[in-house]
Amino acid sequence: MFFSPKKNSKEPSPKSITISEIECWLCQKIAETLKIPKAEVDQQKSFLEYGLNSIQLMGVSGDLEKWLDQRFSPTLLWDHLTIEKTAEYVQSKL
Amino acid sequence: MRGLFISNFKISKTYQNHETWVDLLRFYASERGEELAYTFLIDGEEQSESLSFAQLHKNAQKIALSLRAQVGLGERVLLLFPPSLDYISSFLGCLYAGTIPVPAYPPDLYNLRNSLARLEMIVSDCQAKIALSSREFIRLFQGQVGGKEGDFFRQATPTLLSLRWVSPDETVEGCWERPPLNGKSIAFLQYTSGSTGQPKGVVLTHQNILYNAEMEKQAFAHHDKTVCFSWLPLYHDMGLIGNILQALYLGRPCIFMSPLHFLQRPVRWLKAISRYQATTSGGPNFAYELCCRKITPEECSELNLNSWEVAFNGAEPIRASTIHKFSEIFSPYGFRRTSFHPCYGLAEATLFVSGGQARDLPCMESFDSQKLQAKQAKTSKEPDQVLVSSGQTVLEQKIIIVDPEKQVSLPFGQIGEIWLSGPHIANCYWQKEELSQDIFCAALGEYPEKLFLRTGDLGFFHKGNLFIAGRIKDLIILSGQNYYPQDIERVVEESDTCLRPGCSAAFSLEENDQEKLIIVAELRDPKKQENLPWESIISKIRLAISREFQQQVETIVLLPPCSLPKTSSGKIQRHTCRKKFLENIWKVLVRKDS
Repeated sequence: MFFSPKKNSKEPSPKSITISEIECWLCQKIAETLKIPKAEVDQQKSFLEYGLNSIQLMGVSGDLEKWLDQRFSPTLLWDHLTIEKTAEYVQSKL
Repeated sequence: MRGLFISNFKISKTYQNHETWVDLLRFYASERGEELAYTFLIDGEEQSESLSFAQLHKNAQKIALSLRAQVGLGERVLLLFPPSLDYISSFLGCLYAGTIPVPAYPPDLYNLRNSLARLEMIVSDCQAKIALSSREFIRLFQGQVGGKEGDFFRQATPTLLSLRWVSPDETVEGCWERPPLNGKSIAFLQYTSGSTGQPKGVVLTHQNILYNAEMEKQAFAHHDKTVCFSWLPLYHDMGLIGNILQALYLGRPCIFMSPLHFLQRPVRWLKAISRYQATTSGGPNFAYELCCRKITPEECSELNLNSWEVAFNGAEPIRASTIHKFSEIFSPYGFRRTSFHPCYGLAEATLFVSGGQARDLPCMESFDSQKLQAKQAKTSKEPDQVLVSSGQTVLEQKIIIVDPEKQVSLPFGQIGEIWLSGPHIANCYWQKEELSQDIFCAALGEYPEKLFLRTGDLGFFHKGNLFIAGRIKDLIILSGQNYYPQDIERVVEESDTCLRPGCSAAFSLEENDQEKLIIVAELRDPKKQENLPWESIISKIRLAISREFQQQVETIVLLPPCSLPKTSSGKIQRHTCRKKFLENIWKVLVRKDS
């Protein structure tokens, strides 16, 4: 199932969201930010290697808050560094 | 120039009656002790903690007693805190002790090597022996943290580890006495970065900051109902002086939150203004731009920006398009375009230099871009290059446009270096005599009795309004942060052995109302060009820049050796590089856009 980042946070219930759905959402966000095709985003590559700056990374964590209607640290993406690890952590906190 | 016509300056009683910040806080603690001084939004939204003027005064006394038991008058005290009320109490506690606080950015956990190196340099430069800090940082710097993190700190920070670390919670019995201070006493050291990363501590006296606070008060038309809100970093000019100390000067509340919570969700800024009915709040241009890009209409439903009187915009080039966009998007929620208050300032002048007329539309003019490059300001009927004025001078400050080479003042309409003189201008950098002489003690024939500060910024006056037109040095400003191209180039050249040392150029270009970083670099060996791993070189450059500066490189261009224009003494000519890049006339080996 595909979640658009702009979709309202209220549905479906966050509890039911899986790691791969979060990964998919993050891929989409990173692709949008970098203006590259989603297929080119590597889930194991460090955000730093993509050359994302701190404001962009904090912005993604804010968008994630909006999507899941839940608070996360502004430094969430640095703390976990890859899409895979971030998604795993986020799912464990739902 | 408006300044020329002002002969009698009206200065408020606050300035006339108080010689130091210590006296000012004592006054408010006794006159309006129970009133709110500061509120900190812990999570950037609901959770908060507050201090009244009386509580702040009491905290400052307690901290002063504990400090004075350990160090003498005039000793420097490093302040290392996350955004918090403790930081403000500690800053004032240092003043109450007659010591000199040195506020510093806390270590950036994602750029530890650089941020710790900078802290080490600041501590060595100001010769602090003691640090006031939060419990968390004290544990780190006293070597109480184990594991890899602890090891790293022990190796990276010999000077920091040798400091005596004190918490603001420590108490010492006794009775506080006002230290022997006057307006000329040093209040604090405001560190700014120089090129090659060498920090310089601007020495600010009580009088410098009080006078600048009066300037800001008058320029912003602050009054007895003013409420400040800030998400800016608290450690230097705009956040500390422009918000925290301005509110104290007025005896009015300041609500603040961490910059990280703003960057994470920019709508928090506007929500806080709505909730606390703040009247003054601002930041660099990028912050307004970020709001336009990130805030969705759904997030706006609860906004009420009617109270917002002064939306100051400074510290980086101010864009007309941002002002238009922001006003358009947020006017349905009560924002007024006349609230925009473009301004100009720098740490060496305490903070505030010039600002637009309060409650007036920001002044914008279109100039002939070719004439601008030839250092002439000529208006153009076509919307050529629209510049936003940084306003006019305030009180007795003199702003003079000077030919930096001949050191004579220039007529209106000509672009030159901005020189300043007034009671808010610092006298020197901490213990840097030669450099201070050059920067703070410039002389002009027409004003034999005055010394001028050379700002390094270029500007001109048009119809009495100051316009900023770049810098003498090639400073790069990305999202409100200043970077010296030399520092970026060093990191680029060290990122891969295929790149030639001293043969790269970093500069910025405007695209879609944002400054984008461009890097051009020469490769070492022209013969082996075909076999070079382009992708890996490019990705190493990106990674290095992202690690060291948390910035994204828009475009990287790799060139054969000896392509870059240099001066006869071998210095890179960044302006020419920029021009060549725009004209696209290089024999490019690889060009990679992000």
